[in-house]
Amino acid sequence: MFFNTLLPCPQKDKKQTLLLKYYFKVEEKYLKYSVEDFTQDLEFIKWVKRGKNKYEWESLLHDNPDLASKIEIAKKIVKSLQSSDLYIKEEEVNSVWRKIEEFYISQNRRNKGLHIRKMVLRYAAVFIFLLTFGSIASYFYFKRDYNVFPQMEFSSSFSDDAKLILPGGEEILLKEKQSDLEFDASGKQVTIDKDSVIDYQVKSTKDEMAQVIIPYGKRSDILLSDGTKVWLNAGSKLAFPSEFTKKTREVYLEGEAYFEVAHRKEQPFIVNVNELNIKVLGTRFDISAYASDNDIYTILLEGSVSISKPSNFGIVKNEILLKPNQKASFNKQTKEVLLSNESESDYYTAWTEGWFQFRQENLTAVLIKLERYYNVKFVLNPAFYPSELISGKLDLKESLQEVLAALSDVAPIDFRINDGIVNIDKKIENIPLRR
Amino acid sequence: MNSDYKIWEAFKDGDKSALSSIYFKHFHSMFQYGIRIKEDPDFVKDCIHDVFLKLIKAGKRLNSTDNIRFYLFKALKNTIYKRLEKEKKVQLTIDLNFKTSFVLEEKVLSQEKLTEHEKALADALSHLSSRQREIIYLRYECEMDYSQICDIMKIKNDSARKLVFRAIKTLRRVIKVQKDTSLLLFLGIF
Repeated sequence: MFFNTLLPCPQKDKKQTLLLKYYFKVEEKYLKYSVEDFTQDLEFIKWVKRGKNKYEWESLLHDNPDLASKIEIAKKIVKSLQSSDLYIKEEEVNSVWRKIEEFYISQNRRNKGLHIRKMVLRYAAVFIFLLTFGSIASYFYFKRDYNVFPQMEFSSSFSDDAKLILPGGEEILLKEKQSDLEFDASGKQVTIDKDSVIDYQVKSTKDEMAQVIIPYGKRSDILLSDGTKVWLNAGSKLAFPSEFTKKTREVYLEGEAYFEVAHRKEQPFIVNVNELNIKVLGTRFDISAYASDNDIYTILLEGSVSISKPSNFGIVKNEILLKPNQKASFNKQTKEVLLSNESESDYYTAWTEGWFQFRQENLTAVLIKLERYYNVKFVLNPAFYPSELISGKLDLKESLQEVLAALSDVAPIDFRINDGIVNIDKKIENIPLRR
Repeated sequence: MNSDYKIWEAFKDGDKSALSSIYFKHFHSMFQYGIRIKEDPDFVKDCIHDVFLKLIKAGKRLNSTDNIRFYLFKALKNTIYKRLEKEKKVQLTIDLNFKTSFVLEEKVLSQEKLTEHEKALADALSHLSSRQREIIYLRYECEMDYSQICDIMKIKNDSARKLVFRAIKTLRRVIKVQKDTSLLLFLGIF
């Protein structure tokens, strides 16, 4: 089975549309919204309650007068849902505060004493540990490369908006469905969506990371300061230094990204995902490391990469070298890495061009990817076990409705979209009509 | 700019100004939320006090967060439940009633003049369940994400959406009916 949504390839007119839509992107989704959708949309609620993005909403209304009646009803509903608050005196707030403050002061005094005692104990423990295990540790140390993988804590979780967090903590919301970021080689400037330029400064000497956080339903293209290109897929986070000043260029990934690494022999590029570390020298590859998936995939298209995983003691055990057109699957439970040859590795990177390509895949696997891309939830009828393997190519620039319609042409499914939830059931075929 | 994350980290490090800014910024919303779980202002104030003492004690051991209010709401709800369990010496197996009154309902009680329309809405609102009230409070008053709401209410995402959706549908029906009758009236005149 092979199908194709018959659509022309993407045109390069992105720049023009970007110029037209500045500041607030009137999201197309609103045009298809029902009254119920509006009442549940947080942006809508914020507008009704306290006039947030007033002008943008008014211009949306102005441009689409047919939305007026829906919005009017939705507004009434949201307004009726306001609760009335109980009054509390300022004095009462202050009296609780004074008790907390007192506790804080007493606690701080106690902590200092405790701290010193704890420190003494800690040093004693370290001393004993060194005596006992010193020989074993040195054995490992001299035998192998010693490396404990650094962990990155992302400072923000997913929300409805895509965002860029600059070193220093400034947050910038990325309004476009597909945002575009370019970090200047100087490490002081970033260009967003090819039109707004933001200067920033890395103040602290600790090398702080820039972070890009892309929720489900969005994507981002990022040019790092060393010339490396990164395509960040829906539901993913990437952290990287704004300027690569260390011996290695290290970035942190959660989710899926496709990399085209700029070659620098003396400064290897390392991608840290939760349990693996992937070292590369100028190359093209795709990594998929979603927290909800059982496996972490790395697919190499060009160049060479090595994958290493830590053992239980944080000592690097295996270093696996990938050749072009090979895929490494790391299973999070068994901690095993499986290598396989991929004759058509392009399949894995089609999403960077807005296509989603798959071959002989289970319907469930296809749906999981669509779930991330469109930020919806599929609910399969429990009595329906799709067993068919399907192949094909979907245009992700289409609406979910259209993509599912294309999918239902080849897979025996019926679907019903309802408020971010899509019910999938087995297709009922040709019920003969009685006369 | 995510000031929440930074303030929280400073608070964990024992910074007093971070503590006071968190307290004064969030006391009001914590109180309003708490009073809806247990209608006893003194009790809720004590619980807020306890939450802050626990946080100060935990200090560096606290998790990071970029949404302080969400963190505090969760902590407050836990504290209220634990304290009630202790007082009653039983485990609360069911959720407490979440009591929030909508502005419209209050107006009915205080016998303010309302249009037919508002009366009908108030009536529809009065039929909302306790869970629906809690979720509506968190969504419409506190503007929380569904993921946060689910975390606080310990429910699944789709059931959260369903709860809201049903409430909205009821209200929608009222508004629709109201519209139809006014149209009929209108026709009747001519």
